[in-house]
Amino acid sequence: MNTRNKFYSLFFAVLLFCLFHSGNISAQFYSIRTNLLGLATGNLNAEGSMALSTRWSIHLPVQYNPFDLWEDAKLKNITVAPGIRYWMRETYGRGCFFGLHGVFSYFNAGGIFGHRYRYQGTAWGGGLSIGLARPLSRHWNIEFELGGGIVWADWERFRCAHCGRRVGKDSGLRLLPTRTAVNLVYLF
Amino acid sequence: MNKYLKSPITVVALCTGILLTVSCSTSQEPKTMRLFMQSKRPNISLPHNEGISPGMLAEQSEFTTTSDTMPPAPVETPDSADDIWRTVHLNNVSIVAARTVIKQVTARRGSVRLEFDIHVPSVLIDSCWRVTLTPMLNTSDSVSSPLLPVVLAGSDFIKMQEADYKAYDLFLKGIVDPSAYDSIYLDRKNINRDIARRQNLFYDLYGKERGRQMAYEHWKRLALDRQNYWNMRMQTNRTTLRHRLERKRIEEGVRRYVTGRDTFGLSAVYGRKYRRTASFWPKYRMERKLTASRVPSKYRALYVSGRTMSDIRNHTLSAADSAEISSHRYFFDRIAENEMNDRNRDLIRNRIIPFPYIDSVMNRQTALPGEDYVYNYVYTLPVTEGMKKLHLRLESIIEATDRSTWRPAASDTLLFVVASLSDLIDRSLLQQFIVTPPAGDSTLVSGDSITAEPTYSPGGAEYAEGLRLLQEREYRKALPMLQAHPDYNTALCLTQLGYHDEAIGLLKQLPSSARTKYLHAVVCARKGDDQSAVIYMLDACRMNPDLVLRIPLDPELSDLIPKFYGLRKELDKISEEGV
Repeated sequence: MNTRNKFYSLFFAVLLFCLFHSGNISAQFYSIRTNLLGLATGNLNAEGSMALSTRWSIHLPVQYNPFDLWEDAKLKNITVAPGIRYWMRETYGRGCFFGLHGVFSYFNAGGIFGHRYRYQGTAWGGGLSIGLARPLSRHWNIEFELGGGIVWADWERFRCAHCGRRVGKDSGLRLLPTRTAVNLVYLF
Repeated sequence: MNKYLKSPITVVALCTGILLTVSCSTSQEPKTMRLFMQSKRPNISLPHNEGISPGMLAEQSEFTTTSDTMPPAPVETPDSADDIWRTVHLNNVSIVAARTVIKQVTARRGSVRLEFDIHVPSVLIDSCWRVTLTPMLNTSDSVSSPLLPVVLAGSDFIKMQEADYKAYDLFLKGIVDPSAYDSIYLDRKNINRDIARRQNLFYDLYGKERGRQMAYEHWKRLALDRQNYWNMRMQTNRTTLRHRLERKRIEEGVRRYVTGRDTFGLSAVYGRKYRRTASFWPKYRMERKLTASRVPSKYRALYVSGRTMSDIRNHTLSAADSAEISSHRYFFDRIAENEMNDRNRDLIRNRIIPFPYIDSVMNRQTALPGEDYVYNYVYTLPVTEGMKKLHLRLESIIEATDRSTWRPAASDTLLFVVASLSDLIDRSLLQQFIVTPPAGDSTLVSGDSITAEPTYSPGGAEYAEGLRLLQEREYRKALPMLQAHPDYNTALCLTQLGYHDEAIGLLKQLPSSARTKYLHAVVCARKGDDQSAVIYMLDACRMNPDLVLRIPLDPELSDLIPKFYGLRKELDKISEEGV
């Protein structure tokens, strides 16, 4: 078992432990969630959260995509986007929230939808988001979140046909969607 | 091919087709077309037994027939002041007519009975039209009034009328009284639809409120469940923390105690640690409360009001709602049509029934085509003052089922000259009042007629005016003028006024003459003294045989003839001897 597989196994073990043994954890003011859209695109992700008060909460999402999609297409990245939320009604309650988050990502992506290049580099920045939470049961919520931000990126561009050959290097600010999520939330 | 053309069936079929074609081609012609191609006309005439009927009239009627096709114009006839009971010579034919009307009426209140025949030639009679024959009576030169018509309707025409009336009756039955609008013109289908729509609206309103309430209660139940759970967990955390720190404090105290260290202040240390921990971490301090500000806006009003499911007020359809819906759900187009028909029922009646029944008719009969039609028309007319001549003509119209009409040429005119006892005036008595005879004429007064106007004495002028009024049948006005010179004419006036006793008293004082005896006979007959009346009548006729011809004109005397055997023969004998 190589290092990558060990990481995957550990990630899912932590996630399942949290889901099925949450009753034994005295952390009712915490939550863990995963972005279903991210999972659908092959991004393994989890987000831990803690309520600071009845209106504020802090969040730490982590995303990791180690997969090659098809041929030269890939969306590999490891991203951390810590942030805080202000809840209009109550933390984790029904209603809207606004979020402020930072982003750090190491990415290796390209060849998607016929794009000829692959980009590899790092990015960091910050953004704002808005979302809506709906309680499903005592412990489960579903959230919809959409946000964007300014990201400074530094990347190298490679031709996919010759993935090892760098054809360019660039950096700069980009206005990007930094949050697109349909989160399934478990409350402790 | 030729074989088929020559077959009898083919010939018959061709003839039938030609006939149908001809009949169809002429179907647009008016049904009265053939009347324009002939010269017959309805006409009036006297009954055939005119001459043989004994005179029993209260009044004397004299007529003449004038064959003319011009618009009716009064035919000049001799003045009735002439010898009226004799045959009057008119333009063409003169016949003395005697009619029976009422026996016991005086001349003043008398009436005249007009009797004539209406002839309709067979060519003018058809089953598909109606002949309306209206006698027009002209009592003066200008006034013409219609008598009751005689209607001769064909069978097809009657069927058409009956069908028209049936159609109009159906039309009338189709007119709905406003009180029946609710039962006939109510749009029940749409009313039911409106009511169902209103009920669905009420149900939907309730359903929405119920759904909202259920969603609110579901949210509230979940929110409270979470809140209670979290608060319970917070209390559990705090308690667990406190007891964990207490256990640590005790263990620390025991360790210090057994090692001989001071345990003073240990509780304060752990107390501060507890407060610091519990006040920092949300899981120890964050107690949740459900307040209005934490309720979603769509449920806030429900939360504030505390409404429950049973508090939801539903609407129900009341009778007033149904009445309100119904009041605006009628077949208004049909109501408008009905009211229009009701307003215009007279116009529609005229359209449906082009030939209505004639209400007042003398006779209504179904026409028999191919036969002449004769109707004996009898009309009794009260005699008014000044009535002397009666012009009678016939107006006709033929109306066919196809609404074509035909008016025939003008009929003959019958002229009736009305006479009475006042015709027995003796104008010779006026001779005694003549002062200056008019120049150029030696014999001014001849018999009973005056041929020129002489000059009278003052009393004579009044007497002449009295005679004029007597002749005009204005007896009451004439009597004061004649009473100044009591004579035969005065007795005649008294007789006409019904003063029979006074008339007899005066007649007895007058010299005997044919006129006085004739008048005496009339008065006696009126008083019921038939024996004396016959004696006076015979004496008068013997003195003047012309009076025999007058008897049929006076019903008082003519009634006596059948009562006395041989009287008729005696009168005929006197008449023959006179001739």
